[in-house]
Amino acid sequence: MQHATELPEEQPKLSAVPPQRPDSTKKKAQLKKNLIGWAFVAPTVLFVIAFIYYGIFYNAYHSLFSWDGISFEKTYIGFENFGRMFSDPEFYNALKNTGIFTVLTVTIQAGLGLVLAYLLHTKGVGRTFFKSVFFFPVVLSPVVLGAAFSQIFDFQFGYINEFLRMVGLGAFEQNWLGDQDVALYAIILINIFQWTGSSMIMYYMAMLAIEREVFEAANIDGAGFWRTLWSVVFPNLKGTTFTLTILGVIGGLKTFDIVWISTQGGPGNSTEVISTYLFRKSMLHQEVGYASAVAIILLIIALSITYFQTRVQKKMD
Amino acid sequence: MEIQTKKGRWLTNLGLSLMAVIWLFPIFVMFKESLRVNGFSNYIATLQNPNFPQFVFNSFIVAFFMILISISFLAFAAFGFSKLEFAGKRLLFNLVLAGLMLPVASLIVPLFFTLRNLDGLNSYWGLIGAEVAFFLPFGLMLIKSYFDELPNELMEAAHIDGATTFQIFYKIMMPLAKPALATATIYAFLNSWNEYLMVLTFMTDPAYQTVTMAPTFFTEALGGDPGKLYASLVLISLPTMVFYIFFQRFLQKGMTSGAVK
Repeated sequence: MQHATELPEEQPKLSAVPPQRPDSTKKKAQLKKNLIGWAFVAPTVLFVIAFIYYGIFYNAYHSLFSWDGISFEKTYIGFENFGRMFSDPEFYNALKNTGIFTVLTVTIQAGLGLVLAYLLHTKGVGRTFFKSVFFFPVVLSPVVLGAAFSQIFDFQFGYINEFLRMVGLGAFEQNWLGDQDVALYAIILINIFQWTGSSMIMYYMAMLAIEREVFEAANIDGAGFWRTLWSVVFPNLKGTTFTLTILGVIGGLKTFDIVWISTQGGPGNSTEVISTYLFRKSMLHQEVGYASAVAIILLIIALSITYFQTRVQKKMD
Repeated sequence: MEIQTKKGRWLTNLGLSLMAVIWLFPIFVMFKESLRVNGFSNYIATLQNPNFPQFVFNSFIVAFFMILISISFLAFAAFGFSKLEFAGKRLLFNLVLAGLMLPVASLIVPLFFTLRNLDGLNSYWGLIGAEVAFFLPFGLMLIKSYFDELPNELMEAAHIDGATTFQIFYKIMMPLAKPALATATIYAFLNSWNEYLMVLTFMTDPAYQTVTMAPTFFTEALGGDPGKLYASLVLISLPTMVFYIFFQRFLQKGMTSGAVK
């Protein structure tokens, strides 16, 4: 009985020219596999296409028009929006501020996160508690942080200026969020406060993966505490540093909330970043066509960073 | 790692303590300001303003459906991308993942005008849909990386026993994936609860606004009563604080499992 049922299945392998039927069942099986796979991923894929990819095409299309978003009339103007953008000092100002914001947050967050992770990595009391404290701001809303820091940075009654006056350094007091030369850096400080915890956790987890022997060997070689961090630990965490840099750059491009809540891009346009510029042009100035062109440039920047990241990561692996 | 000298240990603890004081200071400021002038009655006044419970209610509704939709979509998709073979798998996966890099601001124009045409402004579903779309890429990365760690042998054994793909997904993989789904749920909640730009753009009517609009609303409506403003900030932070206290392990793990790869 058993032998008889097995026979037909064996046959195709034996014959020199495969008969038609098994081939089409193979195709059918493949099709069934595809259909099952597509069914599982379809809701997610279609949703992302409908909201995100449709949006990209919408931007690309409207970037070629002059449109206020209110009237039905859209005037085709070709690439004029792009021309205007590249000769607009406000656009370059927003790009420059985004650049400063990104470079400073990425480097300081990583540096501070690395040092904190390293200190937490030592044996001692309250390490879990400290870790919780530093990571906590990550879950807070920027609305909450913005309000708390506006109290800290206040010119007249703010904690920082009061402290400076108290210790006799009143000459250094600043209108932290109200001075064109200072406000951007004050906002960067808030952002660093919020996100250092995540850099710290990533470094901390990566440090746990470094073998004990590496630390011990450094110790035997007579490397001191900080020396070990710089020449033994840090080089071992290249992958994490790279990931944090990419996440930081993307985070910099995405930054909107904390800027809008703290200063709305002001005073003047001293804290205008690319996202707030885009929001202002589209939602407040009704220059929808122009804003679409800015969005396209922002998308191109974001996607080229992603492309660069995948290339480098392939090399690293 | 162990620090050898007593002085070194002392300095490390001092450094950590100082940093912790700095890190707790803004939260201390928030609590202190919330008690300004009237003490705890600031909280009572905030809660009695009819708009505040409305903001909280809206936030919970939006977060609930945002979590429900995105987690159910993601459970299927993460399983599909991790454990099934089908044509176009890599392409589709990268298509979704690329969404991770896109700033919300860059899509605010299409979202606003499309939702306006579909009556999706000042409505729950418009905001929920947009929040889901922006959460899916991160959530997929998070849950898929967890599925990737699960052994394929389990699936193959069940397959030989005659189980269908759906049965394998539902009966074997879902129970195993619970920790990843929990982590994604926590992240989804935080994303939704703290969402600012989309609410600012889509919800002009306070009746539909969520908690992140409460501070602006109170500043304008109460004409500079900082005590009540800060009381509202403390109140809207409470759910995230509770989440943090109970689930910070999940959050910390999620941070690395998704991003390191």
